[in-house]
Amino acid sequence: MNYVLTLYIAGYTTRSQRAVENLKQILNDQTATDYELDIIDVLERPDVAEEKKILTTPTVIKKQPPPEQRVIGDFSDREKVLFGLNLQS
Amino acid sequence: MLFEHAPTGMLVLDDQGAIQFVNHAAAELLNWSAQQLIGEQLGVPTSGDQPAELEIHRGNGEMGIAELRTKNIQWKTKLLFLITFHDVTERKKAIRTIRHQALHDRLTNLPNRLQMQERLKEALDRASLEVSHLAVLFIDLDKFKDVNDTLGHAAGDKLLRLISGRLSNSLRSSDLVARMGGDEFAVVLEGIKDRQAVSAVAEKLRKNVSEPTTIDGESIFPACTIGISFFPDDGEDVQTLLMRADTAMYQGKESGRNRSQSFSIAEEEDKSRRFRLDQALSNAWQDGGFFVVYQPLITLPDQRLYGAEALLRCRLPEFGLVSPEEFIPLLEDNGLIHEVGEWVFREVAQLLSANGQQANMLDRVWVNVSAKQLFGDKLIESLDRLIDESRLDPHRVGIELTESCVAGDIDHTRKIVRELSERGFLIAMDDFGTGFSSLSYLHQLDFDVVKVDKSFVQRLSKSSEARQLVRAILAMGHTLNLSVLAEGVETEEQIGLLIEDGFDFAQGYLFSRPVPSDDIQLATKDAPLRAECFNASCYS
Repeated sequence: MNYVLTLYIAGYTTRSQRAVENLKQILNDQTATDYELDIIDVLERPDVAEEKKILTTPTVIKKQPPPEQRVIGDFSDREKVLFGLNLQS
Repeated sequence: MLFEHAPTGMLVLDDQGAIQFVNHAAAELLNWSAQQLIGEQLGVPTSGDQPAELEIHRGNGEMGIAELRTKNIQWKTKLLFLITFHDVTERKKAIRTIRHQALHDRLTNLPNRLQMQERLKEALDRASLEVSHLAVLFIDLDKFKDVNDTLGHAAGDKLLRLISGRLSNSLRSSDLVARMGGDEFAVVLEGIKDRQAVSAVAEKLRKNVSEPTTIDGESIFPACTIGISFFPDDGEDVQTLLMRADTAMYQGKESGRNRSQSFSIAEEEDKSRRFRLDQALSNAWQDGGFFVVYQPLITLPDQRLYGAEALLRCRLPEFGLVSPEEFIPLLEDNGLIHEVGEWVFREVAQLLSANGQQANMLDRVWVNVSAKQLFGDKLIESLDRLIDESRLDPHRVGIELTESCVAGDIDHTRKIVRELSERGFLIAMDDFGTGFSSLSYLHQLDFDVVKVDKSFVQRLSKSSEARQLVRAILAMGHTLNLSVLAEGVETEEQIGLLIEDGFDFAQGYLFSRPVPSDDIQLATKDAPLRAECFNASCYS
């Protein structure tokens, strides 16, 4: 099954770049099938952030497969990312 | 209660990241009420044991930065996350401000020297990788000190801000402009094609900087001198490129300001030689490296010894015999000219007192005085001291002034010349015809002798116009009651013509090159003087 995820960041800072790298590394290592990862800059799309009530960035929302799940932080703890997004290796 | 009123923001999330509890500080920090927050999905925290930084998006639309820690809690059978977080927005902002201040000039808000060096280093790394060119421009405002001195520092600051704006607006956004300090700016141009393209940019900058302006009601005509160094030809590292652009800027200043100038290796070698020479001259002054030689002056038409011109010479261990054209300007710049100049008078006084008893005594010995010495306030004082100590007889000493001595404030010069004449010194105008050559100076100042430059004498036998010119100078000198001396006489033919025209004195290799003090005293008045009379070593 394909994973569909959206990563919300606030500007292309060192912090957000590190989060993107960590996340992609985990996704590449752990997901057997393809994944789609959208990246949304909340500074450019504040409406989307408001609609989704993004309280902190970086935040990742996994939309597919359901249920929708969220993780926050720098994604440096692989186990917690896998747990929070319910990704199966 | 403890949880509710803790000063730290605290949240409890369930294992799906939904907010279960929120304390007062957290609600305030996020700018949402606790009721609005409870039940919202924040997300499962994924940072490790170390505190993590993330952005918080407050209810009022503002963004901040928080430092977040997570702790896993087992409550009954459930896994919960306790999140504590501190607002570090202000601290981050302060760090950013400090970093900005460390890298920017406060007056103009341009990058400062430190940032310039860092970014030039990065630009050089890029240029090396891409095998592209890069130019460093060093820009110095001309006569900026005058603005500060006459209109005050506040006006000077306004001008600096104006100029920094003009520089920034004249360049591409990718170009770097920095204030290096004082009235100095530097520019880095990346991806520039060739030197010609750099010169075009430099000229544009110079033109834009030079637009007249008004500050505090005063018209100001700014100008700048720009030095250019080019990567990789003129240097491959930050320090070399900055230094060479700076060197080129100084070369531009010396060539008359308000221009742009590319770095030249020959000029730098010249500068380096001057620097080493300057050091060596100071040492030579301590170690006795200076000496005085004497070139005889003869009377015409009998061609007998009359006196001598004292000439300062210098021999340096590293450089050998150095030409006075090279070392005199350096002595003038470093101020040693006053001490060395006084020492020459002492040497002459010593020669004259030793020579005083001889039958063939020198009537008068002439000493060259530079413009710096003449206007330096110390000349009269030191001469008076020598006269008081009975070491120097002014009636046996002449002072030679070059035209640069009279080109400045004529009233001031006249006053000093008069004071010298009153003491008994004779005054000569040296090298007449080479410099500013205003005939009126001869008239306005109380000269006794005019020395016609050797370039006229050497053309004498070659063209009739040259001879006419020399005759005119001679006639004019005599009309003003001056004695006229011909410099640089080298041939019998020349001396024949000079005698025919009625010159009073002559000097040149035909009679003698400059010789040491012991040798000048061997010269005789008994016969016409010729170079063969001296066998000892000569100094040209």
